[in-house]
Amino acid sequence: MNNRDIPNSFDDPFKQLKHLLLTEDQNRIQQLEAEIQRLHEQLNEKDHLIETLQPVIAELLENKIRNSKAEMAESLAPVMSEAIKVQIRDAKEDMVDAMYPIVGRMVSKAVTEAMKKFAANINQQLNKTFNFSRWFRSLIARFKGVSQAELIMRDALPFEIQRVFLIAKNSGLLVSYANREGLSPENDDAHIIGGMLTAIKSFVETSFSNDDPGELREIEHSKSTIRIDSAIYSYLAVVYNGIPPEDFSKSVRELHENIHGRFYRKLRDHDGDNSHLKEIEQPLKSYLEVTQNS
Amino acid sequence: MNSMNQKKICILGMFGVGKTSLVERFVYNKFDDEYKSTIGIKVCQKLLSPIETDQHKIVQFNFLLWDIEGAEVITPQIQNYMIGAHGALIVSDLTRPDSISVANNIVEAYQQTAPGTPFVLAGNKFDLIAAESENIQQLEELGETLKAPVLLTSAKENNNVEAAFEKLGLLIASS
Ligand SMILES: Nc1nc2c(ncn2[C@@H]2O[C@H](COP(=O)(O)OP(=O)(O)O)[C@@H](O)[C@H]2O)c(=O)[nH]1
Ligand SMILES: [Mg+2]
Repeated sequence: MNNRDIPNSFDDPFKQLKHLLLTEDQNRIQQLEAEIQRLHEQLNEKDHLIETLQPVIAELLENKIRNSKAEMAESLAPVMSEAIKVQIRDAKEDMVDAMYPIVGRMVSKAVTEAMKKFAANINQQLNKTFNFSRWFRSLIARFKGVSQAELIMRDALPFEIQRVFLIAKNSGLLVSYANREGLSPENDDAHIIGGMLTAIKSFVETSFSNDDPGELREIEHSKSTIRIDSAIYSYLAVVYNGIPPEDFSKSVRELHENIHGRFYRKLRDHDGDNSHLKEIEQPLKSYLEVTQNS
Repeated sequence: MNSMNQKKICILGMFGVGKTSLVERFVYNKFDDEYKSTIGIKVCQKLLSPIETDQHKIVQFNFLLWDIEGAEVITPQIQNYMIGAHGALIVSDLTRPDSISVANNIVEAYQQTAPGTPFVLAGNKFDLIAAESENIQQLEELGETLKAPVLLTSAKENNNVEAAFEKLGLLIASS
């Protein structure tokens, strides 16, 4: 334009003056026009725009979230939940990895919560039964060598031992027996049950032990369970209802170990005569009483 | 708990010789063939009358009777049932000679498992057979060889049943 205009413009002195005065500005305008064109392109072309905004967008969001959290949450929520759905569908494993620590925490929290409730239950029992009852319990506990907690446990859980059998291992003959007071008074069938238990135990152990000489540990039928603890010369069968406390197995083991340790010679030589083994009845009875509902 | 002596007694013999019938007669004084064992074994008990031993001591036994099925084939299971027994009643059917030879095999297995304990041979269903039958002779010969008493019994007619168990009690008392 300039090249074309200038020769003619000399005809017009005003134009000449204008040219002289404004050439510099015109150059600058031209430069600005080019710059605008460039920016225009940058804004309209997606790739360019992204490249430009990337460094600031994170900062922008951060600011926005900090200043108007609720607003952001509201507008993002639908998008987010949709995104999570898609993500779970398409990349399950990644999601699991991501969620695992959170879910783990949630589960452990639920368990902690349940334990707390359980503890509260026990504490309640403790408080409720304070004064005489509690004192009496600790006395029994000390007397019988069980912890007071164990005694309290039995009140918190529906659990009851019905009968305890001590049976000579070889002959399967009943050595000693105790049942819960109030249960059918005919202990007469105890001998037969002792024999049948031995027969069943032998049957299971022979039939299902491939090469491994395992021992039958539990028989379950409707509400009753028979826990069997085996030692060298005897086995102890405990018949109970309900859910046993955590240390039940241990208590059965300890009771049996105690008896077996004291009487193992007599148990070894047991020949059907129980008259010299009467002492065993007492620990069996005590064990039963400990777990008996008051 | 009573203080009398308990004794584990195995009732052994071929299928159908009358083991369960003998036990039922002895324990409940009844005879029928209704009973069917489901697991191949049943334990019953019977308190014997007091017995005077050779040393003039009075003992009383509570017999725990293990009525064991399927002993015609001596499996480890059958042998395990015999462990710890104080005595055995080994039953054969006087109408079936094969049951008498089976009794011989059973005695062998029993003596291996519960060595030194007494046993009595019962020839059952005596009511069905003539007194001069060869089968009785065969059983009596077996008794002589094994040095074991032989009793001819009838669970049906309640003949010699108590006597067979009492004989076993006597042998246990003096062993
Ligand atoms: N006539 C007769 N039949 C008997 C006698 N003892 C058992 N039985 C019958 O013989 C069958 C088998 O008897 P059972 O006691 O079940 O034999 P198990 O298999 O040895 O227990 C049944 O039908 C009984 O009724 C007996 O002394 N006399
Ligand atoms: Mg039978």
